[in-house]
Formats: sequence, structure tokens, C-alpha cells
Amino acid sequence: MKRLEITIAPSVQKQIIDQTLYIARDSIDNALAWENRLRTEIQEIGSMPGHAVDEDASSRLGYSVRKAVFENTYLIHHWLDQSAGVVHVINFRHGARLPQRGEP
Amino acid sequence: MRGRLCIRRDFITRLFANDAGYETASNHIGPDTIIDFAILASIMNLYQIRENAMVSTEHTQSLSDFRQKAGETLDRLNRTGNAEILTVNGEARAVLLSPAAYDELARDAQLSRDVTFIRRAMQEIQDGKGMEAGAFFDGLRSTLLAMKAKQQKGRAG
Repeated sequence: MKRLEITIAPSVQKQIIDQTLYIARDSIDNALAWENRLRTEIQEIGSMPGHAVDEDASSRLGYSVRKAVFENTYLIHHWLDQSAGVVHVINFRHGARLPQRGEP
Repeated sequence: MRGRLCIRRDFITRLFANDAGYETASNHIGPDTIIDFAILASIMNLYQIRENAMVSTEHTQSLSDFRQKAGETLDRLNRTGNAEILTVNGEARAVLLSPAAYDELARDAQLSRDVTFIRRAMQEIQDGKGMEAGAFFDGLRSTLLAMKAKQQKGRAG
């Protein structure tokens, strides 16, 4: 299957950067490894964009957004623009738990 | 003037169905208060609309009353799912909720946060501000490698 182009919204970029820098406070090597795993995960969304629709969020938004879980901890919302063949990453956050104090 | 107030759980839930209300409340809350957002937002919304007829004073009690009837109160909270307000010297100081009611509020609050965030991100995408993922991660990696080089240089020096 053709890999779709993936774009990341600026506000999501900030979320990812903040989380990366948070990890880097303890270990830059860990942050590099985490960044590499996240890059792979997001690229896989472009290869297999058929993740589950987030029914609750889609219901409020009025259009379908999909969700992928990264490392059982982070939730990635994305929207597939089928006409343009592009997947847009539109949310990235802790999914399995709320952030710790001081954590983005 | 602050009064003795109580709010029904279903009404609190409805507050979070209103994204505008959520955003209004979130403007007054710092990033360190995320975990307590649901309760804080409920209180803030409660005061903003305290003239509203849906607000009742049925389950407001003083801290001293609570100390005497803690078990009874906790049973009632878990049975009814209602929120109850604890007052000190007539002023509301805390909201009591069952774990199930808190979880429901937290889920609703998180959903509202997600929807607000997604709307903003979609607007950015529509404005053509999205960045290709590979380019973004290349830039992020460069930043981290620069940090690592600086760190190693600092240790060597």
C-alpha cells in the first residue's frame, strides 16, 4: 500500500518538542531513542491509516478523527484527508494517565 | 458574595459538554492544576451561574458536620453520584465527589481538552501551517544532538 504523506500541526509539534525536552532533562540519549520510536510510530500511521475512530471526539467535532496509542501511554489523534492523500497529526498527549506535576 | 451552594452531578457533567464554558474556566487555571481541573472548573462555573435555578443547596455541609458524619456522607456520595460542597465559616472550600463521579468528570474534561486542541490544530492545518513529519523529526533530532554535543563538551571542559 502506498504510504501517505504525514503532516504535523504546529501545536502538536510543540507538544512533542515539550515531551522530548522533558525526557532529555534526565537523559538526552533516552530522548533520542524516544524520538526515534515516535517517528517510526507516526510514519506507520501513514502506511496503515486505518486506526480506530475516536467516537466521542468525532461526535463533538462533526467529522471523523482517528486515534493511535503510542507505547501504551500517549494518544495520537489524526485526521485522514482522503482527497489529498495526507494524514494530519492533530493531537498528541498522555492517554493512559494524566501528566505528572511539571510534565507537559 | 459567596453563598452556600451545591450542584447536581448531572449539571456538572453538562457544564463540560459546553466547550466555551470549559475554555472560559481554563483561562484562569495554570498548567500545574490539570489533575484538579474538573473540580476547579465546576466550582468556577458554579459561581458564574449561581443565580441559576438549577443550583441547589441540598447537599452543602460544614466541615464540622462532615467530621461527625463522614461515613454517612461518603455512603451518600457513592450512592447518589452527586457532588457536595464543604464549607468553612459559610464559605465553600471543597467539593466532595465519589471516585466514579470524579472519573466521569475527568473523562469529560479530557474530552473537552482534546476537542479544543484538535480544533486549533485543524485550523493550523487549514492555514497551511502543518510540517511534513520527516522534516519535523529531523529538526528535533538535530536539536537533541546539538544538546548532547554541548553536554559532552561541557563535561570534557
